[in-house]
Amino acid sequence: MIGSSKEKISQKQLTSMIILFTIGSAILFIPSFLANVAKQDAWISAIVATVLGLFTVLFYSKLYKLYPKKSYFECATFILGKWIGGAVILITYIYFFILSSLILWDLGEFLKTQVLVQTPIQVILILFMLTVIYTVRLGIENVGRTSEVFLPWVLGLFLLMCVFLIWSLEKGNLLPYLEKGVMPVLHGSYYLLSFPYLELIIFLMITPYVNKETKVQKSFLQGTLVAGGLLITTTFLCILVLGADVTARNTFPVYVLGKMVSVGEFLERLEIIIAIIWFLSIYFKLAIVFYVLVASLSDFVKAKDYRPITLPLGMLLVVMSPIMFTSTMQVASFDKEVFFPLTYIVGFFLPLIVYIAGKIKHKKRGI
Amino acid sequence: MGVLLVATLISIYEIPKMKKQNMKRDFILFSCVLFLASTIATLHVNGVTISNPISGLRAIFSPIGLGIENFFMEKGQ
Repeated sequence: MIGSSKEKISQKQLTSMIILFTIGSAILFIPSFLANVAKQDAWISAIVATVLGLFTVLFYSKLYKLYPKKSYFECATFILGKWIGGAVILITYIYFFILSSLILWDLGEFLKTQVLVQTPIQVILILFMLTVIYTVRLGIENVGRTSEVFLPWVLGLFLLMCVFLIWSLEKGNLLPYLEKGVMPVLHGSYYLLSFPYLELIIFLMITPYVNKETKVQKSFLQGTLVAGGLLITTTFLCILVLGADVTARNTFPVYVLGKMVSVGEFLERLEIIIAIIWFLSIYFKLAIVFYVLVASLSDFVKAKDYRPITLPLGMLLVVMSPIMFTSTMQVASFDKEVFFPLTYIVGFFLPLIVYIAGKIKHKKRGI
Repeated sequence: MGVLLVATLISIYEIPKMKKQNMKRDFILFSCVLFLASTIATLHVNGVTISNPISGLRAIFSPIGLGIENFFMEKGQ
């Protein structure tokens, strides 16, 4: 169904979806993750990871070019056969499910700890999930068009935020460079490469919808470059304004950054700008992941339409998310112990196997 | 009770549409997922501890994850 659908998204829409997907949830968490290991050099590891991320998406677009009309799951079954391909799909599907419940939980936790302290987390999750279900039922084309509309808002608000922070920069926070050698910097890059760059594997499920095959690589690279720029700037600002220590100690350093805005004693505490950026981007991230979840599940049983299972699957997500993730500490250790290695396997090793096998298949056919 | 109410509402909303278009596979998938979701929700609401599916993953992956962490930490010193 994914391959033969009538829905189409343009190259511009794909780019804006990639940008919003990449900064969604990462923009709030990444500065803290990086500053924890790389201290004041967090921005260097952000740059390193973004360069590596560009190579990753280059690899993804190469994988896409093998069979432009097929989604990643269809590719895997076609190239590796029913059983091995099925195993690849199963692991990737479990990964997508965990990813979506993690995104949902991220949002719930943020609202629960920072904004709606007294509200039960389920209420937040249900309301947000209903919005996402509504969008997904309208189809991927609408998600793409909406993302095109909202992207200027996100970028504009981000720019506004950066301008307002110029008054509170402190250059001394950046010193000394590379205090403990290169290793902590690479450690940070290891985090940032898996979250969010390797998560972009999910776009290989959406690329069959793109109307111009040749433009996919370009929009992959453009999207990652812009989103990487945003992430680098955010980390840089966090270190410059808050310092490495405060950044590492907060779960949501960017939100604290918003609270620090102070221009001439009349423009204060603009953290809601950060919240808006974050809601918009995480909403698109969840919508895209959820669309892939439902579409590939109904594809798997050869159902006619994916819409009927959006509500039950959304219900399952809302129920499972608080069961799977219970506290901030648990999620932090889960990220380090399970999720990052799992992302490397799902986002890098499995596609690599598929790619190599596909290349061999191509060559055989050539002879 | 609330859970069952939600499940019934979803069914009332979706099932007639599926019957009209004669989507058998869709219906089977729909009822499976809805059944799974409402069972887990009912158990969870009634205070039955549901084993966390993550702990299984953790058993498999934590040696790898911790190994990588330690590798970076030791080299960083």
